[in-house]
Amino acid sequence: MSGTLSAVRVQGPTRLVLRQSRAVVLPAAVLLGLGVLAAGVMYLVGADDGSPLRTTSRSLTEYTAYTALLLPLLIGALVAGPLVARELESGTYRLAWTQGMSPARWLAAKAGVAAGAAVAASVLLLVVFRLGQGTAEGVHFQWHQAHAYAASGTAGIACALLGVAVGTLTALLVRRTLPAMGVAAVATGAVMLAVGQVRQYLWPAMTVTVRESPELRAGVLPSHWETSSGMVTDSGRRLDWEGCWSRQAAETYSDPNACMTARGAVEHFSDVHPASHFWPLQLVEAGVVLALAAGTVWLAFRVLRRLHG
Amino acid sequence: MSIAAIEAVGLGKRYGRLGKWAVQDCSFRLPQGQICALVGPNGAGKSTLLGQLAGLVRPSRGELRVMGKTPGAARQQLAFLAQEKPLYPQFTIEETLRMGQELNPGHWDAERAARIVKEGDLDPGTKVRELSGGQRTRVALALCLGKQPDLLLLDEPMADLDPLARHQLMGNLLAEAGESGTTVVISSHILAELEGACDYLLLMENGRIRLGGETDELLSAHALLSGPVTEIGAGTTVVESKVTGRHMTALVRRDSEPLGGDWEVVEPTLEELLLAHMRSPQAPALLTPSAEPQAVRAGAGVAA
Repeated sequence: MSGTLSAVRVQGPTRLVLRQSRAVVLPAAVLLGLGVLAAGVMYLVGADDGSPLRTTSRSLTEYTAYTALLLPLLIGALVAGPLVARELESGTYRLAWTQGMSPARWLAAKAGVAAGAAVAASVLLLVVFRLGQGTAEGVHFQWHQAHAYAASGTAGIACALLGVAVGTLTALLVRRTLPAMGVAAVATGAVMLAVGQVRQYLWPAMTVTVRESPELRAGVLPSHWETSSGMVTDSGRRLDWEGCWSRQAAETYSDPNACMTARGAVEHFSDVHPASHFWPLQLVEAGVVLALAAGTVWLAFRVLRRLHG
Repeated sequence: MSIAAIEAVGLGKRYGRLGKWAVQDCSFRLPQGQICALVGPNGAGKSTLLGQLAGLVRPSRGELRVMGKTPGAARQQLAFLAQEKPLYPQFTIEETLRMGQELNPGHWDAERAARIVKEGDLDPGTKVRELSGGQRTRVALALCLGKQPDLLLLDEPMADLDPLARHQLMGNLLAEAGESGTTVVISSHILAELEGACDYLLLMENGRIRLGGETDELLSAHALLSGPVTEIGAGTTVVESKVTGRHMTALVRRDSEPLGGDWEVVEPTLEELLLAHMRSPQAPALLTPSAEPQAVRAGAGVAA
């Protein structure tokens, strides 16, 4: 009984939000169609080397990756502006809130619909990118490149949800459509940049050391994501290159390595994330980003309560 | 005594931390079943007060009960027509009414809402953005009344209507309200719009209620005196007095009978009563017994 009642109550607001968003449903359906088409093209092209479709597939894969990278910004802007702030700006929220929908339920319906759309969009991009990456062997996406990383795992989906959360909060604080869109896109981008900066620390890196090798990078595979490198002493202390690249050093030593050796360095080292760190990194990042998103949503509901009770 | 439709004690609202108080020390009570006019000059705080009653604006301080509940909890029981008549412009009239039905399960009167729209000769398939001001008001009103509220709050409802439509819609509204026993609060700064229609009155100025109660009781609590210039007895509250040559007119409270003196005494009209109070900000507030808040929570009443 109570289950049926609450189902009816949830339905009304959600259906209202969907009906309000009719204008974007058609373009979204077209984009979805294009995405599925792209996935089909990637799948059909397969290993067929040298065909013109092959080039198309390659660039489509690349565009997909960039789209996935920018998707959270776009979602943040759309949620902040047209979805939430427009109602606050035009005053129609007063209609919704006095027609039996509490402010919290109204915001929850909006954020819920947006979250559903965000997950659907990023999963679609993920499928298209994965297909394109799998079939086009000539395309070498480094797994840790920002756009490929965003398009190929859970972190991208979490970032899309972060866009929803940041958009929701921004709309409540800015309350005007266009400024809210700009602020939300910038804020989402800033958070993503910050997450990108700390990404390498989200999982312990592996250290590769090479002693007395002419090949500096020996031991660092092409699939490795090298996050730092330098030299270590016999006791294992890390030395930085201070002064060894200066003109003075060049007068004394034949090359910077000799300079470092004179300072006691015996080995080269590289901190790397091997390809096997992909999923641990993706999962930890998704967790961090989802926690940020949850905190932001909580803050949004607090702001709503504080202003409107 | 039954639950009041509205009970406010020491209500206040300030926009921003350092802003001006839009509503301040606002206390009154409105019994159920009344048609109440909320009048006052522009900027008196009427819209903010209505926003608080409708659960849209959170009070900065004070106590507020609507149908015995917090405004948020009374959402199902009240309807609000905001000044700008917000409606979703991309919806048709039909979709707008369907929204009302979906959002108010269990207490939506579809027949009533459709009838109000039909009386305005409107095609249900018309998009809201194509409607004129008066037609919008009609649709918004249909949405309010279809909800079958116990309390209907109307903020300057008739401002964008021509006199004929105003008369028709107002009659419509009062008939509907009378039929269902709905309590109605109508705000306006046009006094003539409400004269005769309202049996209860709230005069708001500078965020406070200055007069509150049954219109006829408020009128009979005042007297308009005219006669030769004389001192008015110390026990009588003078709201406003005017001297023209050796002649004098004064609007006073009948708080100390008999008035004495050589006066010609008449009951003021509603307009005279309201204008005299608006011109005399120093006159003390007056609430009739039914407009005095009663269910005051201990301690909440005297918040400065």
